[in-house]
Formats: sequence, structure tokens, C-alpha cells
Amino acid sequence: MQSETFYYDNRTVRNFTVATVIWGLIAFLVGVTIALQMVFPDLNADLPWLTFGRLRALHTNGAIFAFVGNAIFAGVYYSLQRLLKTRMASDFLSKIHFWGWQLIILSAVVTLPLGISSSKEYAELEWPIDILIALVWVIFGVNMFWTILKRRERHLYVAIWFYIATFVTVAVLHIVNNIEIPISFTKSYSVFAGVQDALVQWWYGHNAVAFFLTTPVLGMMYYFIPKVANRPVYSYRLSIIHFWALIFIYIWAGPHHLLYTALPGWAQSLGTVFSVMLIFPSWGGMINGLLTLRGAWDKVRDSAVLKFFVVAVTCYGMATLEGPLLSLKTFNGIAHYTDWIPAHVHIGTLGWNGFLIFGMVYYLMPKLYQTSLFSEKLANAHFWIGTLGIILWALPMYVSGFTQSLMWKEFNPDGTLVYGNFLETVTQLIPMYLLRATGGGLYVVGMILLVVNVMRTVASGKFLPQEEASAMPLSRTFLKPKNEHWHRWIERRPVQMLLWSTVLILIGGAIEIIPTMMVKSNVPTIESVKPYTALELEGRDIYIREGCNACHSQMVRPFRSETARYGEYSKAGEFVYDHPFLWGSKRTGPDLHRVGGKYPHSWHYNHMWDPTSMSPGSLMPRYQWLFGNALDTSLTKEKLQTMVTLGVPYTQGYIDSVYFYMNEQAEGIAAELREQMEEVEVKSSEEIIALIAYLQRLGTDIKAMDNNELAEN
Amino acid sequence: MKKFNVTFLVAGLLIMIGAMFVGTLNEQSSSDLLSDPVTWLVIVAAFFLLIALIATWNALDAMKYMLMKKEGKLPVEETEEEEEAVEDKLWLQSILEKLQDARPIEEEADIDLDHDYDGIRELDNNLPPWWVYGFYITIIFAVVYIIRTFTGVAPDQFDEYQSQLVEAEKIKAEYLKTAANLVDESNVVALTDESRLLSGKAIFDKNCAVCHQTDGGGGVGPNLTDIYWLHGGSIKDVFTTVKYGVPAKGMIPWKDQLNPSQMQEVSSYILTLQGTTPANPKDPQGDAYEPVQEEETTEEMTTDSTATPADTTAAEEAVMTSL
Repeated sequence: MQSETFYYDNRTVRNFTVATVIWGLIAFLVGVTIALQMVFPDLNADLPWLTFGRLRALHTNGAIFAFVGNAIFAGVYYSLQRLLKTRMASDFLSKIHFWGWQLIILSAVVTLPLGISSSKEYAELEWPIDILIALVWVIFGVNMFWTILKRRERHLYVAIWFYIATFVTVAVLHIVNNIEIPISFTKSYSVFAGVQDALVQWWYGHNAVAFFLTTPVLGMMYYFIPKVANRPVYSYRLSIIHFWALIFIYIWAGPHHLLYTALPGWAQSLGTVFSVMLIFPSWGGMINGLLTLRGAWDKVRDSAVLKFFVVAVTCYGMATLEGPLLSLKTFNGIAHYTDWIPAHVHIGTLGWNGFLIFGMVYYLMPKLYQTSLFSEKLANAHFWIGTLGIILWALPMYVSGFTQSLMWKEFNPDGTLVYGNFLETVTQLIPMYLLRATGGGLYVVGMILLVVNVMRTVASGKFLPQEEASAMPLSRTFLKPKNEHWHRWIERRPVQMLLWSTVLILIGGAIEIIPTMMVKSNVPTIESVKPYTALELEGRDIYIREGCNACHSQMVRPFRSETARYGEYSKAGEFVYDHPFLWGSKRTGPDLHRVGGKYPHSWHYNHMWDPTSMSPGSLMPRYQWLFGNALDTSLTKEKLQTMVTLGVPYTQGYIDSVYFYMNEQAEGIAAELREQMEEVEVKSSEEIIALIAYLQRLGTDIKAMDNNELAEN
Repeated sequence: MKKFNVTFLVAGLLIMIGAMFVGTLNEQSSSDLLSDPVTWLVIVAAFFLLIALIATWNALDAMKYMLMKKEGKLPVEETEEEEEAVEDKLWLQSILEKLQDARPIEEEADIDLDHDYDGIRELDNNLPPWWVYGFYITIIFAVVYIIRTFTGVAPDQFDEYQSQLVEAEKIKAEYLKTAANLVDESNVVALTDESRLLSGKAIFDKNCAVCHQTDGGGGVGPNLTDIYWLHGGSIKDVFTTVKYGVPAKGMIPWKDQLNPSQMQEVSSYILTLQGTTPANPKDPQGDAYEPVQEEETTEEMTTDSTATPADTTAAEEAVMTSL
């Protein structure tokens, strides 16, 4: 048999790498901007599209899908070809994949600041973009699988197992979580409501971390660490067990984002125990990565790339120990909704994802440009500045998280809260927020060094778009060696690999989600809970547009410190008409589930015009455009019809005369406002009226119930 | 030398964390925080995490050192003292080695699996026993946890909530036995004690001044310096307005954010604004209020009252007899 000569496609790899760097820089800058807005709220210049609620989604989507996303594709396209000794199957598909992905990111950059959002975290993009994502993702999968099928290497290396699991799981997660009914080109409602929507969302959200930020990056780790260190992988058996355990167990852990909420207790417990069981499968990856460096520690001292890798893997180990600890009820009760969670998340993203990607970029670019890195010193400087940035980001947020939590929970002996005014707990943290922004700034400085280094490297080299390689084709017959490890069997069968990965990742999700949907007792009905009025529904859509849920939760947990502050704890049955759910995940401001009726209309009116007028020192942006804008009611009927399709009991009569009812409610609110503030001219057609209607409705449906009824729910 | 660095690093981190922690607390809250069990839980957890961090670091360091020595990448130039220290460490190292169960680098060829992916080779090291046992332990934990929660042995979140409430009631009852902080609108009296009026002013400036101005001249809310009142100008009226608010007019209730004695302080402070001249007085609203004679006597009788419970009780008795 003759050895065959072929060419690796370096162009796609180069394109994805460049995109990684550009989008990374942008995502980080947006991050620093919103970090600074938490210290200087005026930074949004009163422009709607610069406010925290909207930009936060841009930052998270940018960091996850633009920065890490492009990096994953660069890493996969580079390593896959070489691990399989073949060129990517289709240049055409590679091209569509690359440009399709950039188009998705561009549409995110446009739509998110415009407030076009479905509100679900890390899945905010609206349905047309969701469809585009699904299409491009499938193209990626087809291209990858086609390449695998025409490989010249009989067995699939562990990195490729991770790539396959990534492909299938992300597809399943993305599609299920984004099942929504369109109302217009830019607006849709989730088919799931309340508790179910929350469960699906966090099944998605948690596993987006698992299968977008972790498994593909582990695959890249398995290629680049042994390659750069020129050392064999420490333990093949560890690779096998930690791979299968990881993908099977990870998928169950989603409910740990919903501990102490209205999610049924059994689902919460499953989330907790599977998170705890995740520690060692995750650490399997860490030790296999670190121990591969046995005998190469002297290289670590000299190579910036390896330094980045070591810190990345160490951060991975830290975050995957911290995550399970946070899934224990004791820790979760302290940390959830506080700044502890962003600290945890950023150890993972800045440390694990960012540093592994930086290492990869420093390794790849000189290879693609047939030269050496412009400056190893500069890369080392990036490493140290970046590390300092991570520490300065995370430490203040841990402190802030503890402080926040302790202040929320502290009681006077007479049974009142020491910090009854939520604002006191916010102003206390501002110095920490400033430190955090400094840490983020340092991380950006490091990134700028990378940009300079890469540009100079590119300038000094010559790009090699087609890299020649040769390998023997696969023979038709294969003689199985004696004493072969049993797992080799499946490594020769990519389709089986795909199949079994799919089965394993479906089990956990199915067992948690299907009973929550089907079994009535999981969401007990509350008679007094009624659908939102049309005006309130429109107000709710403004709440979604402005991203209020980025800083305000709507979930009062059954803690004395929360019921004393906010009122009765939230019940599953209260959210049955919430398409989508808006429980939130962070309390930069107070919980809003029981805000209805707590303040007079005029308080909200003044507060939205200028929050500091009612709460001096507040970090909340001004929402003055809600006052000029007339409420857009052109889609109200469609919205109500869609809700009817989803099972919300609006009568046809109500929908037919909806404008009458809306006007009546709006006039009522406006009249009250005029009475409370004689000197202000209030128009009932403004958006603010709808938002006030929604806020005043929140959590009020159960107020008519007596204590016995409350106890039953 | 290496150790030294680690110690420095850890000490530095500790100081940084401590400093940040203290920096975020104001003097008043720090003592309360220290008596909170959660604080201690967090501190203990942080302490253990630090120990774990140091242990991991040292283990890694030792491993790196050993490996580099075995690879001959470290010049052998140990003094006798260091030699002894190494001896002491041996038993620990042998345990660590057993727990890791790695084949030494020089025997690597024996466990090379002859896999070759783009030059990447794979070794057939055993699963590290510490990893395997750790995994088993988490699985056992999971089984026990699930059995306990699914059979109802472990309290669910609502049970936990109920016991929190019961606990809170106990603490409150205990407190009420010793304190007479039971001010409400039926027995509230205007304070004249300087220090309590001062804390009333602090509460006013923080919470009320946004709508009523610091000098009480009024803005969103009415002028508090004139004799005209929308909801009555006696201490009881003012206390009631502060406590329950007048939601229809835009005044929010403060009963969830201020405790009774704080509401008493701020209400008393508000009454001291009577007759002062604000910078931008809002036009009078409501009816003129003339202090009643009885009220005056009450006020006089409580002039000496301080914050101590005994005196407050005395003041209450005085109210009773005057009625």
C-alpha cells in the first residue's frame, strides 16, 4: 500500500483564530464597561442600548459564543485534521460554518443592545437567530462527521470523543431550550412556563457550561498539552472513565441552579447529588492534563504557552470543586444570588477557557505563519498580567458575596432585619466592584499584548494555507490485536460513539424534565392565580426588553431573612402563566416577586425616571425613554392569541375588546399618578404605565389567601 | 526557598482577604456579624480551603521536586540538614506515592500503549487510587443523600423554614422579656433625649430626605416644618404615618425597614423641625395642628427618659397614670 499525500486546511483554522482574538477583545471590553457601570451608573449616558440589562447579555453571549465559540472551532479544525490524518471533508461547509457563525455573532451584536431578547440566560437570542445557530451547528457536525468517516487513522483519540459529545449535546440543549412560538420576527414566547421553563433553562444553562465551555475545551487540552509538552498522555484508562462519567453525570446537575426555589424538592436533590458526583470525573481531566506534564516541568518554566495551560487546568480544577460545593444546600443558601457566583463563573471563563485559548493562540499562530512567536517575553507578560487580573477579579467578588449574604440575613434581636433597606447592602459593596473592574481591566491589557504579539508574528511570517502531509490509507481489513483494551472497539466506530453519547446525555435530562412536565403534583394549582392583563403582559415584555432580570430575581426563597424582607415565599403555582419564567439568577438589586402593591405608583414613576430620587446611592440606571415612548400595542392581540395557544385562559371576548381593557387600566393608573403628583403631566399611553401595571401585579395573586391556604401550597 | 514563597503568598492572600472583609464592614455591624454563626461557618470553610490549598501546593511542589530529581534535572547539592528533612518526609511521600500509583518516568516505555495520534502517545497508568476512592465516596454520599431526602428523613426546605421561624420566635420572646422596646402607635411618646434625636436625624437623612428635603422643607412629599399636616401632627399621628405609610398619596410604609424604636426616633426628630425655616419651603398642605395640653405634659414627663428599658417602662407607666 502506498502512502497518500494530502493537505490540511489551515485557512479555516486561521480565520477562526483571528475571529477568536477580535471577538474576545470586544467581549472583554463590554465586560469591563458593565463592571464599571456598577460603580458609575452614569456611564450608560442614558442611552437605552448602553444600559447594563442589555449589555450584560451581549457580554455573556460574546464571551461564550464569540470568543470561546470561535476558539473551539479553531481548535477542532486544527486538531481534528491532524488526529485523523485527513483534510476537512468539505471546504465549502467549512466556509459556510465560519461565515455563518460570524453572521450569528453580528446579529447578536445588533439585536441584544436593541433589547430583542427572549430573556433566557445565554439563550437570549430571538428565534430567527436560534434557527440560524441550529443550522450552522448542524453544518459543523456534518463537516466533522464526514471528516471522521474519511479518516486515515483507525481509532478516534480522546479529544475527538469530547468533540462528538459536544456536538450532539449542544444540539439537543439548544433546540429544546429554544422551543418558542414566534409572534413577530423579533419576538417570541417560550412554550414552557414557570417552574418547567426554569428547569429547562437551567438544564440548558448548566450544560452550556458543561458542553460548550468544558468538553470541547477538554478535547483541545488533550491535543495541545501533550503536543506542546511533547509528553505522552498520563493515563488512557483515566481518559476513558472520566469521559463517560463526565458526560453522563453532567447533564443531571442543572437543578443546582434552582436550589430553595419553587422547583420540586426531588429534582433539587438530584441536582445536588449529581453535582457532588461530578467532582472526580472533572478532576480526572485535570490530573490527566497536569500529570501529562510529568517530566516537562522544566519546560513550563520557559514556555509561556505551557504556563497558560497549567493555570488554565488548575482553574478548571478549582472551579469544578467549587461548583459541587456550591450545589450543597448550606453553601447555596449563602452564595446564590450574590457576587460569589460571578466570581465562581469567572474563575472558569477567565482562567480555564481564556488561558487555555490564549495558550492555543500563541502556539497556533506561529505554526500557521511558519515562524516563531514575535516575543516570548511579551507572552510571559500577558501571562502574569492576566493572572493578576483573574485574582483581582475574583477575590473582591468572593468578599463581596460573603458580605452581601451576611448583610441580607442579619437580624436584630427584636426580629427585624438589621439592613431592612436593601440599598445599604449595595452601597457597601461598591469598593469591591471597583476592584473587580480593575481586575477586568488588567485582563484586557493582557489581551491587548496578545493582539500586538499576534500581529507582529503575522507580519514576520508567511501564511501557509495548505499544509502538506502524508499518511497510509486505512486498509479494508483490520486484524484485532490480542489483549486489546475493550474500549478500542468503540474508538473504531464513530457512529456507535455518537449513538451512545446521545443515549447517555438524554437519560439525565429526560428523568428530570419529563416528570416535572407531566406530573400534576409537581406544580400545585393555586385558584387565585390569574393570567396577566394585556397591559401587564406588555409591561412584562418591557421588563424582558430592558433585561431587568439581569439584576432582579423574582423568587423569594423560604428563608426567614427573605420572607421578612420581601413577603411570602414564592410558590410553584404562581408562575403557571409565566412564558418565559423570569426568576433571575442574581440580586444586584432586591427581589421583585412581591413588589406588587409595596410602593405607590408614584414611587415607581419617580424611581424609573431617576432611581436615586427615591433611593439615594442606587446603582440602577435611569429609564427615561420609557416616559417618551408610546406603548406599542400593535402586537397585543397576537401575543394574547399565542398565550391562548400555550394554554393561558384568555377569553375570545377579552381579546376582541383588548384595547378597551388596556386603556381602562392605563387610565386608572395615570389618574392615580396625577392625584399623587399634582405637578407632573402623566400620559396613559406611555410605556412606563404598562411597566408600573406589571410591577404592581407581581406576586399579588396570592394575597387574598389565608394562612392555611398558603401553608398548603 | 520555594516554601518561603508559598508562605508569603498565602499570608499575602490572607491579609488581602481580611483587609477587604473588614473594609466592607462599618463599625456598627462588625460586632453583630462576628456573633453570627454563618460568619464563623464561612471563616472555618475558608480556613479549610486555605489548608487544602497549601497542602495541594506543597504536594505538587514535592512531586515536581521528586520528578525533577529522578529525571536528573536537579543538581544534587543537598546539605545534611536538608537530607534529614527529606528523611522525615519519606513516610508521607510513600503514602502519597501509593495513593497516586504512577509508574515512574523511567519505566514509561513499559506502559506505552503504542497509540500514536499525530505524534501523541498514551500511557497505561493505573487510575490513581485516591481518585477512585474519592469517586466512590461521592457516590456513597449521593446514595445516602437521595435516600434521606426521598424518604423524608432529611428536612425539606419548608421544614427548614418552619424551624427557622420557631427559632426566631424564641429569640424574639427572649429579647422581649428583657426589653421594653414595644413602642407602637398607641403608646408612642415624643423623645427629647439628644442622642436619640440625633439618631432620628440620621434615619431621616438617609431615608426621608429624598422626598422631604434634609431641612424638612418638602419636595415630592409635604413640608414638615409648618404647622399644617395632612395626616395629623401629634407624635402618634406622625408615628402612624411613618409606620403604615399613606400609599394612596405616595408615602411608603416603613414598618418593614425600620424597627419600632427607630420609627419613634425619626418621628420625634420630625416634630423638632416644627417652626424651623427651610431653604425652599413647600406650600402648606392639610390642616393646622395645635398641640394639645395633655400631650405637652406627657412630653415633659418623659424629658428625662433615656434609652434604657427601665426608664421607658417608667415613661409608659407615666402615660398610664396620666390617662
